Parts: sequence; C-alpha cells; structure tokens
Amino acid sequence: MSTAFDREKAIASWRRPYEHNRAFSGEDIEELESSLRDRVEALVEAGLPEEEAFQEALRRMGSYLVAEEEYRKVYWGKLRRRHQLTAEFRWRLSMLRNYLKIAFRNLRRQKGYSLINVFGLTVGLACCLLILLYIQHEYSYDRFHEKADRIHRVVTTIEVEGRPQQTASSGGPAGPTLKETFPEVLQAARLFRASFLIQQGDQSFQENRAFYADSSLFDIFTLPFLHGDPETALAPPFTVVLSASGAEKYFGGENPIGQTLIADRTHAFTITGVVEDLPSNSHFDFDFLVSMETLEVLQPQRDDDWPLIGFFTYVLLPEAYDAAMLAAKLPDFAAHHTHERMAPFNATLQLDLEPLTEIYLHSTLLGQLGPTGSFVNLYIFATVAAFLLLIAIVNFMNLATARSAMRAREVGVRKTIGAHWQSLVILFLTEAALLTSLAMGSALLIAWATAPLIESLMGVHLPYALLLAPGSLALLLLATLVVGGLAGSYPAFMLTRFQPTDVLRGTFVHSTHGVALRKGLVIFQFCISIALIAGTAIVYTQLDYVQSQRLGFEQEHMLVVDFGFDADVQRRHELIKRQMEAHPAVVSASISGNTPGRFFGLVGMLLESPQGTLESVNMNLFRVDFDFVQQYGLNIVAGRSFSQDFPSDSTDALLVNEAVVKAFGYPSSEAALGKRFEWIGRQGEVIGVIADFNYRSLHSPIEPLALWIEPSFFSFLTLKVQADGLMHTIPDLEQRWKQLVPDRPFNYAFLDATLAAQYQAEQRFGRFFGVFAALAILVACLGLFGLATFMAEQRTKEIGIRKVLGASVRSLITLLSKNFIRLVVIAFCLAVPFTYIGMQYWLESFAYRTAISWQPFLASGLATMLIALLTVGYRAYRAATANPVKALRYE
Amino acid sequence: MLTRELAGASAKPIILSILASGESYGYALLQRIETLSGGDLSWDDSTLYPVLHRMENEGLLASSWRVAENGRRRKYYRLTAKGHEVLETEKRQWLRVDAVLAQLWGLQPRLA
Repeated sequence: MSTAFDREKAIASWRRPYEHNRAFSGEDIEELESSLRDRVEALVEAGLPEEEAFQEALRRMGSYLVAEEEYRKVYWGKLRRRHQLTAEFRWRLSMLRNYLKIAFRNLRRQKGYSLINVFGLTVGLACCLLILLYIQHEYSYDRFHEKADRIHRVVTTIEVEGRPQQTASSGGPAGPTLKETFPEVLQAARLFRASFLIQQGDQSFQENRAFYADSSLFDIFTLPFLHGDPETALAPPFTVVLSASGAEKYFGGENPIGQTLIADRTHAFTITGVVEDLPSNSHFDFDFLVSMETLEVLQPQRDDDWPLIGFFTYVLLPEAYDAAMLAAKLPDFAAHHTHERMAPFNATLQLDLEPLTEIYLHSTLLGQLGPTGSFVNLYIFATVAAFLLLIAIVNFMNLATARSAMRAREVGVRKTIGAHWQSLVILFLTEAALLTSLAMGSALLIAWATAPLIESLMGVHLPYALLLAPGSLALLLLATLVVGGLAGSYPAFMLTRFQPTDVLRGTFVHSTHGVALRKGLVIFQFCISIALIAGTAIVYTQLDYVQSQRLGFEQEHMLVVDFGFDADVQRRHELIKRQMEAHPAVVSASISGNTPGRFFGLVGMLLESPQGTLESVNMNLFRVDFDFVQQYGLNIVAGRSFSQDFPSDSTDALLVNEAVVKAFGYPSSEAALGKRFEWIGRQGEVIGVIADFNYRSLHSPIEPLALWIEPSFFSFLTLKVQADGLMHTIPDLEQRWKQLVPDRPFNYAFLDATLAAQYQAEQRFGRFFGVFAALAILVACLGLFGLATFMAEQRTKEIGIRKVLGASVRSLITLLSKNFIRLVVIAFCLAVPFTYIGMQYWLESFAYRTAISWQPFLASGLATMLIALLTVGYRAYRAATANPVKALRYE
Repeated sequence: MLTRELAGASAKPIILSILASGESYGYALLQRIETLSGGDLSWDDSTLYPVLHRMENEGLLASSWRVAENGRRRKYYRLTAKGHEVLETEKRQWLRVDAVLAQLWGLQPRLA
C-alpha cells in the first residue's frame, strides 16, 4: 500500500529551489504557488487522483529554466534594488491588510462570542493593570528622593534584663554624634513628632501633622522648596516650614513667608519656607516642620538622653559606600557613649542602620512613623494578578477553539481543501490580536474608571498616570501582542494540526484531545470561586464577632474629646470636667492620658516580685483620673480603686490588671496588694487589681497593664452621653467646651468608632475578598460557558437525532447539564478543605476568634451551583431548541 | 501552434483585452485563453507571469493581492487608464494589419 500523497509537503519541496534563486521575489513565488494550487484543484475536481494531478499541474506550469530566464529579464528590467525591496515590503503590508479585513468581517459576524471573549479578557486585564499599579506604588516608596540609595535610618535596640526591644527611632544625641564621629556620615537629620494648638485670628487648629526637624533634613531628602531658602529656613528657633497643603490651610493662596502663627497660645512661629507636598509613596508625611532649635528652647533636656528614643534619625552616606562598614562600627560607638548611662539598669543600647528604601515594606520595628506595608501582601497580589490573567487567557483560548471548530464546519466549502494552512494560522492570530487589542483598550478604560473607587474602598493609591507614560504604553502594546499571540495560537494550532478534511467532516470536533484539560480548568475555577465566597463569609463573620464582643469595659455612647495634651486644660482639668458633666445629657465624665484602642508604647516599670525584689517589667501604662475606673466600668477584683478619700493616691497608688499578677507569678490577686512599685522618680504600692479587659484590639491577648494618676499626661476627656437627642447634645457640648477652652477645637470621636478602626485592615481584607470572589465567579462562568459551548457542538448531531425521536426540551437540558453539575460538585469537595485550612490560619492572627461553621460553605456551594446551572442551562436550552434539521445536515 | 514571434506579439493585446472586461488572476487568465483559442494558444506560467509583470512595470496594469475566506491568496490584475489607451492603440494596429491581409488574400475584413 502506497503512502498517502501529501500535497502540502510536495508544494513545500517544489518551492525550495525557487526560494534560493534570486530571480524570484517572495511575491513571485507566492503567485506561482497560487497558480499551482489552482491547477491542482481543477485537475482533482476533474477526477484525477492527487499525485497525478500534482505531476500534471507541474508539467503544465512550464519549465523552471525558462521561468528563471524570463523572470531574470524582468528582474533586471526593474529600476533599482531599492524598488524591489519596497515592492516586497508593500506586498507584505497589503497582505496584512487583507488578513485584518477578513478577521474584522469574521468577528463582526460572530458578535456574541466575540463580545463574551473580549469581556472575559478585559476583566482579567483590568484587574491585572490595577494590581500592577498597586504593586508599583507600594514598591516605589521613598524612591523619589534623589539620594534615596544613600539614606539610612538609625534604629535602636534597648535590652533590659536580657529582654530586647527594637524601635525605629533613636535618642536625640545619636544623629549629631554620628556626624561628628564618622566622616562617612555626610549629613544627619532628625524628626521628632510634635503637636500644636495653632491660632490664627479667631480660628484655632489642632496641628498633629507636625515635626521638629533639623535644618539638614533638606540636604538629605528631596523636598523642593516653593518659597524660601532651604539653607536657612529651619536654622533659627521658632521658624516653620509648611507643606503646600499646610500653607493653603493657614494662608489660603498667599505667600506665607515672613508671616507668623501663634502656637500653644504663647509662641510666635515665623514661616520661613513652603515645600511641595510629599507624594503618597513616602513613609513619612507632614504639614508643619518646626526647627529643631525650637525644641532646644522649649524642652532643653529632651534631646540629650540616649535612651530617650523618639527621634527619627536619618544619615546620608557617600556614593557607592557599603553601609555595612559603618554598621560594623556602631556597636563600639554605642557602647562607648551609653555604657555609663545604661549599666546601672542592667541594660544595653545598640544602634543599627536601616536603608530608607526598605523601611516601608520590610521594617518590623516598633514605633514606626506611619503605616507600613506588607511585603508578603505584594507577593500575594502579584500571584493573584498572574493567576487572573492566566485564567482569562485560557478561557479566551477555550472559547475561541470551540467557536472555530464550529465555524470551520459552517464554512464547509470544499475549497477549504488545499487552503494554505499558514494562511489560516495567520488569520486566527490576527483575529486573536484584534480581540486582545480591543480587550486591552477596554481594560485601560475600565481601570481608569474604577481606580478612584478601588482607591477609596481599599485605602490604596493607584497612580493611573503611570500607565499612560510612553514607556508603559509601549510595554502594554507588547503585552497585547504577546497575549494575543498566546491566546490565538492554541485554536490555530489545534485546527491546523488536523487535515482540513477532518475539520469539514466533523471528526475533529469529536476529538477528545484537550477536553480533560478543559474540564480540569473549569473545576479549578469553580474551586477558587467557592473558596473565595466561603472565605468572604468567614471573614465577615469574624469581624462581626469581634466588633460585638463584650470587651470588659463601657463602649457605647462614649464621646472622647482629644485636647492634645494641652497644658492649660491639664491645669484646669477638674473644673472643666465638672462643668462638662453638668450638662443634663452627660451621665459621667473622666479625664485620662489613654483610652482603649490607642497604643502608646510600653514602659519599663519596677515592681516588687513575690520574692521581694524590685524587677523591671514591660507593661502598658494608663494615666487616669479618679473617675476613670468607674466610668469605664472596670471591675475591681482585689483591693480598691483610686479614691478622693485618699489624697496620696495621686502620687503613691498603682492599679494593675490580672495579667500583671499572672506575669509576676503571684498566687492570687490579693497577694499582689501592697507590693511596691517604682518608676521615673515615683514610688508607692499596689492598691488594687482590676479584671482583665481588652484595651487593645482582639488581635492581641491581654497584656500587663497598670494605671496611675498623672495629670501632666492627660489628653482625653471622656463623656458618657445619653443615647437620645445626640443630635442636639453634641453642638451643646461643643458650645460649652468653647466657653471653657476658647482656643482648643472640640476634637471628638466616639469610642466604638475608634475601636472599630483597629480592624481597618481586616475590613479592607474582607472587601477585597468579596470583590475578588465576584470576579472569580464571573471568570469561572465564562470558562464554563466556553466548555458548555464546545460540548454542545460535539453533540449537535446527537441532540438533533434525539429531538427527531421525540425527546422533550426539558430532558435534553437535563442530559446536557448533568456532566457539568458533577464538575461543580467535585470543585466543592476540593475547595472545602483548602478554605478551611486557609481561614484557620488567618483566624490565628486573632487572639479571640469564631469557630468556622458549616454555613458559609453550604451557602457558597449553593450559590455557585445556582450560577453554574443558569450558565449551563442557558447554553443547553439554546442547543435543545435548535433546529434539528440544521444539526443533521452536516454529515 | 503559433510561431514564437506571433505568440509573443499577440500576448499584450490578448491580455489587455481580457482584462478590459474586468480584473482577473493568473490561472483564470490562462484558462480563458485556453478556452478562447480552443487549445491553439496554450501558454504556461513560466511565460505568462513575466509578461504580466513587465506590463505592470510599464504602467499598463495594476495588481493587488486578495485573501479569500478559506485562506487562499491570489494576485489580481486590472487595467490602468494607460492600459486602456494602449489597448485602443493595439486594437487599431491589429485591425489595420488584418484589413491589409484581408485585401491581399481576397477575403472580407472580419473586424470592422
């Protein structure tokens, strides 16, 4: 038996001598081949077998040598070499135009499918774009400073009794001493948090975005000046540099240089400069920079003590200098300067360097200047983006393949035999490229439209303008071509691997190649959807639980007024408190330096252990007044609370919580009573123990806490108000406050809102989960739709026959949908364990958590099943109601 | 079978005339000529295409590629304005020669 004649192979080997001959241009060869094919087809149609037809056609084409001679004559007759090249180029261009025209026509004819495909890809691309913007923004923190690579932050590790505590700031002397000692420290600058009451005319502002700053700050960081001179702006005391927004706030549009603001009722600050607002990707931000000299005047000792950290210190190193070299010298340096100071307390102080560019994503130290990002998050998001895109592309491929198989049969023209398979491949790629371009364009539009929404929903910044820079546009174009090529290659490859005759006869459509893959993909997509829906439900359940927990103190209707440690208010605090309490709607009042929900850092207090020795313990300290314990409803379990009957309570008394008792190993709360304490010059004894209450978020277990009376640290007035008539109460209270404290703004917030804000990250997480879940379902449905289409195509004939034999539409729909329901069930079984494990892990970050129940899983399973049924049902309905005659006509 | 000279000289007017009634591609042209001449004139690809290309160089023809639905690509040729003009010239010349020969051979001139 002779081997089957392969026409394509024969043509390919016929071409070869022509391609190596310079007499024939690419276009010429194309024309000759076209002619050859026409001849062969005609002869085959006339009845000749393939091989004979080919040989006869060759014969009739004429002699190769004659052709070569004739073509050469024409070739030399053409004007110049260059003309030949441009002609070649113009020809290829016109071919491309032809392909585009046909691709357009085809796409328009299948509007429905094209739209679905574009839509799926658009969603995937838009998500990708937004996520990439987010990653770009997070990754670029602090890099806008010219010398960013040379800037390092000086951080401190204080070790007390073998317990180290690492903080992101240092003591006052660190910066200047480093600069004096090491020549490689070209410049050093410090930032120290401040807060001022600013008065301007009859308006008062609480300025909390303020820092004391060294003048050298401008030598290190890139802070462009809009007005004023960076050299001198912060040199003298009582000078201020404003941000552009700050200047706007205080002075409107006018140039504020030389003007003054009154701070804390006593000091006159002169404005000496205005700098541009910092961009959003900066780890610190400010509106108000006061010269560091001012701090020297106002709090002379503050910056002389090494262990009194709180100064954010930055140093500038030379170019191409390895920071590790300086870091190696720091242990000796720190020991030399701080040994005397630290040794009496059995403590040590260490300094270290932290690169500026790593602060936002990698720093895990305590006491950061602003919120920090999470490096892990970036990885997660990048993976998510890649996943989304991949799924979108694969969906695209599936749908395109299903549609093409159908199309090949619809075209059905015999002339498809002998079609240049390379032509078909180029056609498919062009179609895919067109759809992808459309998708990319739409994705850019959608990303632009939704960016503000996402920004506010997720609390992130999405610098959309970056996408429109020429560099990124070029990259996007490249990406479009690559994605289009990838997506179009699969259907092109699939269809052209087989002989065109198979495609026509429909045997290709019945191939099972790749169906298993498609099924697996659908299962995977639904698995993810189910997991996400269940996950979202679990996240929200936990948030609900957390926010409705009994926290062990009074939360409702607690209005907290923040007066910024105002010294005047502190002096008159009893009077102010009584006056505010006198309002009929106020149930109780107290003043304190802390409220639950705010973290103020640990103190190292000395407390008497059961053995009788004074030991240092890190604990939280609440500065309160005599009314705080009662107002907040804290339970005394041993001893007594602070009382006016014992005036010495204001200096000698300490309250501790049960966690302290446990930490020290006292046998009972009573055993802790009467024990001595000592800190910053005060000493006395424990007079009572309060029951543990959750003064921090439910992320943390309850840590040791002490309370004592210290008016110089007061900053919050808590008013418990009646529930009704809040609308009138608040303005009333504000009025009253204004009379008592005319130049302090009535800066209030409700305690339960502040507490809820602790879970901001989780709320965002929940929202993100929800959005992602919706998208995943959408994409999964598209995938399912593609698969259902393909399988409906495969069974067109079967459906047609069944209909003719009298099957009802309903039974047909059931028949077609059965397989898919099975897929969703499998997906469900796979999703449940993964989700369970994943959510358990997430819940562990909470000290207090709900148990994962079966309801979220059931709900998500049902929801997914319903959506899947709708998707498949629609497709099955279409197939079941199609005209059976049409189905059976294609043999 | 025509002589080589005659086959060569008649190529141009024949092609121009066929294309005058509409554009066409190589193989179709060959078929048309085959049919018209009943097999007397049978050109092959190696001789036709160079002629077409030369005529295109001279500006008598314009070409464009088309891609069909099934992926087949063909190069189509059509007459330019100049081509129409040259066709008229060729027509006049051939008719003139035919008139002379008809007189010499005592036949009625068939082309009028």
